[in-house]
Amino acid sequence: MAEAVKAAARQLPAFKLGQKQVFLPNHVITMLRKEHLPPNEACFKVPLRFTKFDLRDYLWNLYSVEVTAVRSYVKQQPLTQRSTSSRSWYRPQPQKIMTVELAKPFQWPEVPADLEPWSNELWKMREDTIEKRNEEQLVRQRFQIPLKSQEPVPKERVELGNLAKKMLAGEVKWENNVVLDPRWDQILGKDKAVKSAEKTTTTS
Amino acid sequence: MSIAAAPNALRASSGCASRLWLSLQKSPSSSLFLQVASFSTTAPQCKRKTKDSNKRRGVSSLYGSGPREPLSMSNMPLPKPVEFKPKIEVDESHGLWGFFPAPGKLLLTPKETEEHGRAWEVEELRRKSWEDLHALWWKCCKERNMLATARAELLRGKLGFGEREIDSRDEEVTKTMRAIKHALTERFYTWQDAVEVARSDPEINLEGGEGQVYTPSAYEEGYDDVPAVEEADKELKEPTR
Repeated sequence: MAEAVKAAARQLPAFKLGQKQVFLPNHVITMLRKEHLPPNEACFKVPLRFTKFDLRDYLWNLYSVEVTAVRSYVKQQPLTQRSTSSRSWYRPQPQKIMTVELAKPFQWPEVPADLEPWSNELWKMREDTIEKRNEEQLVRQRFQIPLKSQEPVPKERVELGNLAKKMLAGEVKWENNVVLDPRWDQILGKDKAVKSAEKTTTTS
Repeated sequence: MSIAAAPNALRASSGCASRLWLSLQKSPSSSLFLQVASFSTTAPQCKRKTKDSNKRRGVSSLYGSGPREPLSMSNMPLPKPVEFKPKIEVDESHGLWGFFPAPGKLLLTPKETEEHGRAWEVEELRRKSWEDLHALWWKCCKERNMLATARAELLRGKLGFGEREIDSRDEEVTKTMRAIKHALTERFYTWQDAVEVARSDPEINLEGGEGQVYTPSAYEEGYDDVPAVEEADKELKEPTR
């Protein structure tokens, strides 16, 4: 008999459990990773109306985790736009964060090194694109239309400039490999003749 | 007059004193005393006191200003604490593993998250006892907590895709929970109807105490056994038809 009482006492936690029974609650408790916390502490996001005693009893009854102390704070949320297109702003519900001190320390598992199952590279590319587009939109909304001269010089123009420099220096001869109409021959021939005549005059 | 003005000038600021000096110069009657006043030895005291007598002004431990003057050991670098975070071995029976898919596993991959069955349907839950439904409800709660933790970790660590899979699985769990409430609500309505029927039934005395509720007008022996057997036979035969 005495041993049974002792066993029952060992089953119970060091604190006094709540007496009120709760049936079919809809609470969702999220365990949060906090790098700065020591292993004997754990952090949870709980519903706003949760109390410290609620979390303590919840963890004991559902997960049989004994908790020695609970700290809590309510985290205010920043003003948020309802959607990017509307001008309606609102303040989201604040979040309640509770930190508990555990009787048995707990270490968070490692983040998986191989992120291939989550298609991490593709996801990152997508995120970058979205961010870039958002920035462009912001600039456009501020009417900061960039001048043509202030835009970065495109690659083709740089190549064209280099080619022009080379041609001016005589390194490259211009040629477009176009078969001209025979009627041009006379004109060009005349031109050539004139040029050659000039040359001969200048050289003589 | 100038004697009376002198104590005032002691307290007034230097600018104030000069103005006083000008105003006094204009009045011809007091010109003799004014020259004396300009050579007064108390004049430096007219200057506004700027030096702070508080030796620890601006020294704060809150924003780490350090001492006002460099100390003898100011050039010596202080030793810094080693970044030491002890790794703790957690056994698999720790209760907080309930927030994870398996002990030592942070979260499910999207493919694993997708591998789930359908939700319980109301037709299936109607036959379950309250104990079963209650246990299933808490199972669902734990599953939702696990999914919420996985989701938070996915977003925090920027691991990649997988939010949609978590959401759809969560939705499936929620459907089960909804079905549980549906079944229980039905059961409650049935009970209400039964109470209503019992009120009008002459053989049932609702006001009676324990064991006195059912008061049959005439007790028929063997009535309970025979129809039960017949019904069982019917049920057995029916599927074969």
